Amino acid sequence: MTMAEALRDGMRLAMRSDPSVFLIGEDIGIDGGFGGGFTVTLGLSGEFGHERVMDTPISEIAIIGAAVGAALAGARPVAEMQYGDFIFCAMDQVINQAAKMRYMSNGQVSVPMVVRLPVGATQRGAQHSQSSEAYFMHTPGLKVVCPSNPIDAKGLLMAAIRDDDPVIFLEHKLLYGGKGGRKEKTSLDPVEEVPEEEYQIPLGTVEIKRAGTDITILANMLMTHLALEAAEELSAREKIEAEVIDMRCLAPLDFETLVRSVKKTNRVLIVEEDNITGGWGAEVAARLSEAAFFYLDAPISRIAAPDTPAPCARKLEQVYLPSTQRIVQAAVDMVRLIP
Amino acid sequence: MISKVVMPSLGATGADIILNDWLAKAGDYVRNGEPLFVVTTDKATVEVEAFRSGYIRQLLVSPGDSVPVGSDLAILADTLDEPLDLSPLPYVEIKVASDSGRRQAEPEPEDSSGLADSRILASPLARRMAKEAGIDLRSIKGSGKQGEILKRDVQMAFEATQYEESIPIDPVDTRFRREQLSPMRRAVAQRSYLSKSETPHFYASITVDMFAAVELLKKHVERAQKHGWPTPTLNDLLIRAVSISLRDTPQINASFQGDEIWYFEPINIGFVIGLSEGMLVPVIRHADRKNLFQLADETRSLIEKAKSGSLSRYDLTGGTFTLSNLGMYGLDRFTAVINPPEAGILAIGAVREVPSNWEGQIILRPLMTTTLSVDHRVVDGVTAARFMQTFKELLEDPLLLVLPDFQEEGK
Amino acid sequence: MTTSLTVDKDLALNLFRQMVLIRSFEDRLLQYFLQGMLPGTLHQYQGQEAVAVGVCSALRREDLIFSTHRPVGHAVAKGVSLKLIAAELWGKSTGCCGGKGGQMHLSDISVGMMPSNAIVGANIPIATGAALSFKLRGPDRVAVSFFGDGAANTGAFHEGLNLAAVKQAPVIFICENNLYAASTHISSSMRIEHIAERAKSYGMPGYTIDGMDAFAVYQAAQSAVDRARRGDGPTLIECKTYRYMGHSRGDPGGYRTREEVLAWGKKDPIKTLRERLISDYEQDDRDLDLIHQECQDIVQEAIDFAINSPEPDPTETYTHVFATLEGAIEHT
Repeated sequence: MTMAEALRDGMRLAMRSDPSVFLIGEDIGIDGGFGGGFTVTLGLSGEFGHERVMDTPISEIAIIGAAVGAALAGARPVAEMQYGDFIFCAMDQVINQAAKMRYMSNGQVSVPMVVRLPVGATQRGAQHSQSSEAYFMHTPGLKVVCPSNPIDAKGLLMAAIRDDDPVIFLEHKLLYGGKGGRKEKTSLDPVEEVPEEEYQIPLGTVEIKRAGTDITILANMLMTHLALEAAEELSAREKIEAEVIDMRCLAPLDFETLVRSVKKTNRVLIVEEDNITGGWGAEVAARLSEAAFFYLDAPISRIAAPDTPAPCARKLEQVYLPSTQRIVQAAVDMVRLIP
Repeated sequence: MISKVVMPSLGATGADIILNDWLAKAGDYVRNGEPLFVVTTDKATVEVEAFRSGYIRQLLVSPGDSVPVGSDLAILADTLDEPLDLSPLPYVEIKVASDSGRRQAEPEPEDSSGLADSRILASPLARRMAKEAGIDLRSIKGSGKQGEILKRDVQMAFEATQYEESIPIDPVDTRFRREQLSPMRRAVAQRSYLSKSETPHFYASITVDMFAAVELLKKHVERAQKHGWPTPTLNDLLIRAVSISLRDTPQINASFQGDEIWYFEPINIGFVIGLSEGMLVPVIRHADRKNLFQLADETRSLIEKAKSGSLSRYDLTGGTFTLSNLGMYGLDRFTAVINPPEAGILAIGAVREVPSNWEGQIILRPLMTTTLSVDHRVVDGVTAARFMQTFKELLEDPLLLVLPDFQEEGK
Repeated sequence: MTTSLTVDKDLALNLFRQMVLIRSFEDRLLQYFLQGMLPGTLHQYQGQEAVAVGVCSALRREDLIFSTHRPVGHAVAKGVSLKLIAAELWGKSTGCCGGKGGQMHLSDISVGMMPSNAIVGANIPIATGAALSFKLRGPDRVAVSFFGDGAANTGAFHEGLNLAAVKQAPVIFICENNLYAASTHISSSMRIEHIAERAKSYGMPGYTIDGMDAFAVYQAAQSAVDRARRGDGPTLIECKTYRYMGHSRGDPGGYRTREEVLAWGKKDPIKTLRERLISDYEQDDRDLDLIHQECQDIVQEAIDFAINSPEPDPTETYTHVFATLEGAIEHT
């Protein structure tokens, strides 16, 4: 399955087994329509009807607010933003409402909702390109999930739907690979054998996608794929064995796994697609330098987008985005540390 | 998990097997199948590979020791810091305090060297390792970007101390004086043996009229003294001449690698320094991009370090060609052994006043005979000859040595 | 809208009692506050009691209300114990939210009081969502969103009402128009006089009623609730009302005239209902005074309870951030 198919499958199975699960968003259930911005919900309204796959006007505040309210009343809504960038129209509902309800009520209520955000730069300009994990990682009360492949996507989405807390679920557009749907020129579209039954991958886990000994590379979503590519090249050409950890859950964060890896390799390279200042990499770097300072043989390094909005032109986007080559070069510099 | 490296049976007849050398050191990670050490049996010298992967935690025997079949040679572990049951270790684990509810900052280990230590650049890991191994950071030369001390530098320093301690003394006295090979001498012995036995040497000599070169050198010296700059020597001049010559015949700046030849991009000249204990070959990197004053500065510093025993691994590695000057001992000429894995070495004899035919007259000219040894697998005779021609031309018309190129260096 | 619903004596007395309870509570809290014995600030409800009481009397316990930064009246009317409210205001561990919510975030879900919201307008789409959930899964519960005139100009109001109308969600929107959003008079925030007019633009019914008349509020609310339960969708009810106190305790109050406050005071809901009870329901002064007394006793008991309750344990700072990961706070 592609990642879009895996996500669709996850939602379908969740909706079959739990009648309180419903979807809400723009253009997600219209007959003869897109199935959401990226075909992920295609066909679901056929099986579950238009009340459980609910289309709305362009009302991000209402979409997220209604999801909060429905969750408070005992349902399990999955809200979709057509582009992740539109979540900012509804930030009050995310940050002030969804994230804080349980705490303010001292545990009387919980908000078991999922917000799905298509993210990542695809040559559509600054307002359709953000990654934005950092805003949500920074907010207490939110869980943040960002899978890099179909198997993880389905398992994590099913777990997120089951989870009683608000989960921000980021999906990278270049990893969707919707069949017959939207394919970008630069998409990766990983396809994997995804188990057909229900399964959950626990939230709050990261995964070591490739074991190594010389340097730890932390990456998420699309960047995980670049990091793995870079690791192959580092191994073949430079005899550097990189350990690549997929940061598929940023909150809660499985910090122990990261520390164990750093103790083994003594070097950390962080690769993220979003702007560098205050990104998730900054937080992880600060924590790692506190917890594993005496195991570091080189300063912790980050590769990220510069502090600019995302440019549209391909040439400029290539400067903006991290690349496999940059990762390779950075890793070589860190390992060799020769002037 | 801990495991031991045990001397395997090599089909030897039971006569003494001696450990020749380790090919890895404590702290290195070895993989199953990689060569790990070299032994000498009555039949041959053999490389033995590792039979499992892991980090070398401790070497239990040293070169020169007898290693009977079945004896323990080293300790391997899956990690660098799990505790070993055996003898005291160089790396002690620091516990990271991590409560379930709160995380505390790592307690900083006591720094006994005090203030002096704080101005030395070292990575946190290196600092901790040095502390645990009882090595003073001030005695380690850093190989990092800013000269900082890194894990590899501490490892080397540690290995060196280990090595010193483990040389056994033969208590039995006999009529001849026995001297254990010093590491340096051992290294030289091994390298020259390997070089001569494996590398087909080809030789080419040429004699150079050094009058103009010596004059140019004098000018440089005057200038240096006037400005207080480092003072170039004849050796520095020769290094430059060799570098430029290699630029013109880059086929010699290479290395034979089995089924490939590697042509090096940088020109890194090693020059031989003779010491009472043997010889060292420190390396000047990018020698072709340095002017005579810069070369003088660098050679002087390296020579000092060689004499005080503080050359680092970095100083001693990376060479692509070697220069050996025994002129000060009055030798007319000599042939040198190639320093593997390089492809060439230039031997310099003394500058002698020799009656020569100079523009129809017989007068005394300062002549110097120089001999090139090359790896014939990499360099053919013609190339060698061309190199020597260039070398001679440069020294006999030495303005060519100092005139800049179109694409000239920035340092 | 017809007022065909008659209000029987029990209901009338109950409306009266509830309003008196709220008024006594808020007045007594003010006294403690002015003596410096109540921490934080207060957003008081005196004058608006008829709205809270009238609406909540039309609801079942399992219906949900979503209130604002001025929640005490709604909370009492929905059935939250005064002890829980007082302890929460005093920041004690026995408060309805263990001291973690505070005056603006009162909550007791056992009686349908959802955590009240300090972001103006935010609870409107949330109430819509709760209503959508009822519609999806039954039973025939309804959701009520309380908000003020200021909220009627927010984006959340627009999106929430529109979505509710489009989906025919069983939600009732109660706008307590007390003429002022903090210090800003309604005439400088909108060009229309009656907020209920806006209902038309969403395609839902809207009514403007006298928010000082508990009966009128009750009848309008009941009508809207029935409509919602039947599946006929949302209603916007605008209650014209007035708050006697400032926006909050820090309010200098210079933006209203004394005359205006007094004029509204003449229509005081408690006073007018008292008169009606005597004239139309054969109650006498003594019984009604007794109700006042009882309410004051309840109020005092609640406040004493709050003052004598323990403070929350400092470790409570870290609890209840997540539902499925207790102790999830990894580091400070």
